[in-house]
This record gives sequence, structure tokens and C-alpha cells, in this order.
Amino acid sequence: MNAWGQRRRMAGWLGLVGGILGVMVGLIQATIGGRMPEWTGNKADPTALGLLTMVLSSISVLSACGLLQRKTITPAWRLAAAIGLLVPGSLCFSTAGALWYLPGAILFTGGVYAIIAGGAARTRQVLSTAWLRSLTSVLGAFEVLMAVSAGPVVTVAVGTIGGLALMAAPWIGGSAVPIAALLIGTVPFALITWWSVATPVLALLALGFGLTSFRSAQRANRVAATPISDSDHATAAAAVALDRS
Amino acid sequence: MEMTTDTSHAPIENADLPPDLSHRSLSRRSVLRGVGVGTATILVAGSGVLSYRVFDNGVLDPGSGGPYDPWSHWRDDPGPLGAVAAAILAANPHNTQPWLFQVSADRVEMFADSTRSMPAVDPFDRERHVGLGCALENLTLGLTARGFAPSVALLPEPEDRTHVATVSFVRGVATESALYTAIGDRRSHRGPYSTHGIAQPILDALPGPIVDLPGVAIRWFTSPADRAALTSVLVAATEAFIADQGQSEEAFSWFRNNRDDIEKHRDGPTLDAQGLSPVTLALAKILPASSRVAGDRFWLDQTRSVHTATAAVYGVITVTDTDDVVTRLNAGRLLQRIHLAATAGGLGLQHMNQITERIDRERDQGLSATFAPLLQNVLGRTGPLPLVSFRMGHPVRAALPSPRRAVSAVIR
Repeated sequence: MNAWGQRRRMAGWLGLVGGILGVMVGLIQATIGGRMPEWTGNKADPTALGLLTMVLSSISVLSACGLLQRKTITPAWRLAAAIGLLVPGSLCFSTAGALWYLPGAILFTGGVYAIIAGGAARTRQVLSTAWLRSLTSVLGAFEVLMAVSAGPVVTVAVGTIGGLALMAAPWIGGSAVPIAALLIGTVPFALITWWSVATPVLALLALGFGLTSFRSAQRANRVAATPISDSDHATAAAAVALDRS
Repeated sequence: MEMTTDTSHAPIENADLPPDLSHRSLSRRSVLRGVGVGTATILVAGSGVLSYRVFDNGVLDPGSGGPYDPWSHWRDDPGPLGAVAAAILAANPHNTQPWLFQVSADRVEMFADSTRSMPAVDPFDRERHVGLGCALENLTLGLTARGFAPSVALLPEPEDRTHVATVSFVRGVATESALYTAIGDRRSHRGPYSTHGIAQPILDALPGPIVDLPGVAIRWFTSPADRAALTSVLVAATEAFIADQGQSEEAFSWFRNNRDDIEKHRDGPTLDAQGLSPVTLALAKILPASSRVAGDRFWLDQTRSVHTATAAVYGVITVTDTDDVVTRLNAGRLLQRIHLAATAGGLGLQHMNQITERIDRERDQGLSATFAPLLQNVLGRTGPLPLVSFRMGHPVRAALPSPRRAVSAVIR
């Protein structure tokens, strides 16, 4: 196993330990968090935040398992796993107080190991092809975050469904369905909460990024569908040979 | 539905991959692309901060959550504790909720909570006693609605000034009055009022019969000249209040600027209760908290351009002795009746006590009396003394509730 493989395993083990610790911290926050506010951040609703911590930590555990179990891994999967460690590792500092210091630090270290467990050029390539789509999905996650604090229930539902649709939209194939998902994910929630300023801003950004990423994906698909010449075959074969060497 | 995959462009990262060998030259296209991606990333990061502020400060659901639950559950308990649940929704100075209750089988004892005073703003406890009177009124309405016939004794223990009232009760006929029904809807309407006036017969009917409240009366200021006279004193008092560091700091210390503070304290004035337009309120909650000085400037501006500019009528509760605690409690009961009757009639009411706060501050600090003669001039040189004042009108938008501590937190 070379250095990249060792880093990937290190990332996996750190993620696993940090994630399991995180689940335990979430359990403590959800059950007895209110009785130890100096450790759990003096939260108004420790039960809900504890459950959220457990869910986010479980994502880290799954990401870590992915890093450990797969014999081979694509750069996209590796970066997805890194995000699966880094995002919960960062977010839970605001859900579990001082109890999160240890799992947060472990997950963050694991996330960094996952990022450096592969070639920089490939990392760049993944980022360049998927970055705008990822940003659109991240905006969907932000919409869910806002929706869960909204009221009444119908607003929560519209925002949550819209946010999930927005998260999925960039990764759905075809042309009509992703655009429909993008519109469902942005317009209704922005309309019913127009006065908040934040949701219309988010909707405009998501529409802009989403439509741009769709156009890029369609262009890439057109290029991929174009028959390639012998010289292109030769270039591709050389690249594969380089990858396998 | 099909999920897109990029397997054709996804090399496998196994153990034997070489180090990065690509050396791409920088083209204008790649630089522009990099700038675009960087800008997009920064915009998304910014919207992340925005979203977190929306989440953290409850922008999309103002005036809701645990601290506001007492406004929805005050009718739930059919016993005397339910009457306390009605009492804690009463108007009170700066939402300090300066009360404690002791409930037994045949009485409710009401106490002043001496830890919740404002020595710079209300040095002689004028407003605190008025607020306790407001709670007392709600308590009796709550008992009556639950089938108890209440009997009020004010200051039952002369040696204990914190023991404000004993409300004894026997079984009676349950009567839900219009005032009782309005308890859960009563708000301090700090937003603008429409230009419609309020007819004198409506004003005359608001206090209802007050024979049980000796020593108190209500004086209305309806004519433009009368309102202008009181407006100038109100604005001057606001300026003096914010120029007085002690008063300004004390008032600011009770202001709850974010949801964490509201959840923690469940008292004090909030952004939600300022009567702002929805967009302004959202921006105020998203942006960083304003400083005391900025908040003071905003209050002065609102006093000039909204509170006094759109008041259809001012009311001043007058008494024969402003220092007498029993009279203050009775004045509070009258004030609460007027506020509830106004609520039932679709009118908005905002308490505006900066003049009397300056009067008491000047007296407490040994300063020359400025505002006492100014207000007395407006009221007339002879006659009863002003205790508290407010404005009324037809509100142009609904007001949001203020946070309240739970009943369990005010029972001793």
C-alpha cells in the first residue's frame, strides 16, 4: 500500500472513531444534555439537537466505512467521503457544546486525510466538473436548514421538500426533470417567505448556479456523444496506461 | 428518473497511482473560470451565513417557540393556576414580569419580585406597581372565568411591601367576559397606526365601570392641539432618556436581541415586538445586533416618525397620589381594562412612559424638575396627577407577542 492508500485508511479509521464518538455525544445531548449545560452548550432544545448530532455523526460513520471497505475508490467518492467527515465535524460544534471538541477534532483530521489521500490533479478535476453542482446542492441544504426553523407547518413542508429537491436537482439525468426540481426547490419557498430577504437571495443563486451547471452538463454529454478519432483513441489509451502504470 | 454518472471520466484511485504529473498552462479561459468558481463559492458561503442567521434567530417564524407558549396555553388549566396563567400575560414595564404567586385552595397571593426591578428607569417602582395591578386584573378575570368569585385585598401585610395582594375566592358562576377573551390577543402595538380617529363614545366606553377603583381616572387627548402638546413632551423625554447613560444602559440590559437570549430569559423587549414591517424585522434579525447607542437612535426616530406621528389619541391615567401603592395598583387594573377593551375593539395600544420615567429620575437624582411641570402644563395646572400614559389607534399591521416565563417559574 502506498502513501495515498495509507492516508485513506487513516481517514477511514479516524472517521469511524470520530463518528461513533459523535453518535454517543448525540445520545448524551438528547437524553441528559439539559442536566449538564456547561458541557452541552446550554442549548434550549437539547433533545432535538442531540438527535441531529446523531444523524450527522451517522453520516460520518457511513463515510468512514466507505473509505475503509472499498478496495478501489474514485476521486469523487473520496471527496464525498471527506465532505461526509468535515461537514458533520464542523456543524456539530454548534449542536453539542464542549462534548463535541474531541469527536469534532478527530473527524476534522480524518476529513483532511481523506482530501490528501489522492492526486491533486484528480481532486481538481472532480472539483472543476462537479463544483457548481455541489454548490447548488449545498444551497439546497441551506434551504432545509432555514425551513426547519420556519412556521407554520406548511412553510416547513414547502421549504424542506424544496430544499431536498434542490439538493437532488443537479444530479438527476435528463433535461426537463432537473429543471422542474430546480424550480420546485426554489420558487415556492421564496414566494411564501419573500419578506425574509434570505430565501429570495438563495433562490436566485440556486437558479443561476443550477441552470449554469445543467448547461455545462449538457455540453459535456454532447461532447461525450461525439465519435472520437483514432488519434483521440491513442491519447485516451495513453492516459489509461499512465493511470495504471 | 435516472441519476447521472461520470464513470467514463472517473479514474480509480488505487494504491499504485502516480503523483500528479499534469502541468497545465494558465489560459485566460481557465483564469476566468477560476474567478467565476471562486465568486460562486464565496456567494454560497455568504448565503450559508445568511441561512444560519435565519435559522438561529427564528426569522421565518417570529414570535413562536417555548417562550411564547404561555400565549397559547393560558386557557388550558381550569383551576386557580390557570388564572395565574392569565395573570402573567398582563402588560408590565419593559416586560420585566415583576411578579410571583402563591396558590392555595382558596386564595392566590401575589408578590412583587424585588429581583426584577429597574432602579434607574423606575426608581420609585411606579411602573412596577402599575404592572402588578395589570396582572391582578387578569388574575381576577381568570378566576371569574373559571367559576371562582374573587375578592381582592391590596397590601394585606403592611409590614411586607412585596406582598401586593391576596385574592380570596369562593365557588361562583363561571363568566367569560369580553375582557377575559381578549387576554390572549392583547399586545403592545409599537408599529404605525392608520389615520382613522377614534370616536369619543368609544373612548368613553373603554374603561367600563371603575367604581371599584378609587382615586384613579383616565384623561384622553384627542384634539390635534392637545396631541401636539403631549407629543413634544414625549419626544423631549425620549431625548433626555437616551442622553442619561444610566437609564439607557438599564433599558438596554433588558433588551433581548437574539433567540438564544429570549429562550434563556423569556422576558424583556424583543425585535419581534417592535412593530416593524416584515422585511425590516427580517433584516434586523439577520444583521448583527445593534449597539445601545444605535438602538437608542432608532427608538428616538420611531418615537418621532411612528409612535407620536401616527397616534390617534393619547391616554393618561391620573391619580390623586402618585406615590400611594394601592392607588398605583388600582391604576394598573384600570390600564389593563382599557388595554383589553381596546384589544376586543380592534384598537392598538402602546404604553409610553418616558415622561414619567424622566420625572422620577430627576426626582431620584436630585435634578431640577423639568418634565413634571411640562406634563402638568399639558394636563392643566390643577387637578389630578399623571401616573402613566399611552397612545392608541388603529394598527396597520398585527403585533407579535412578547416572551413570557412559564407559570412554574413564577410560583413560589
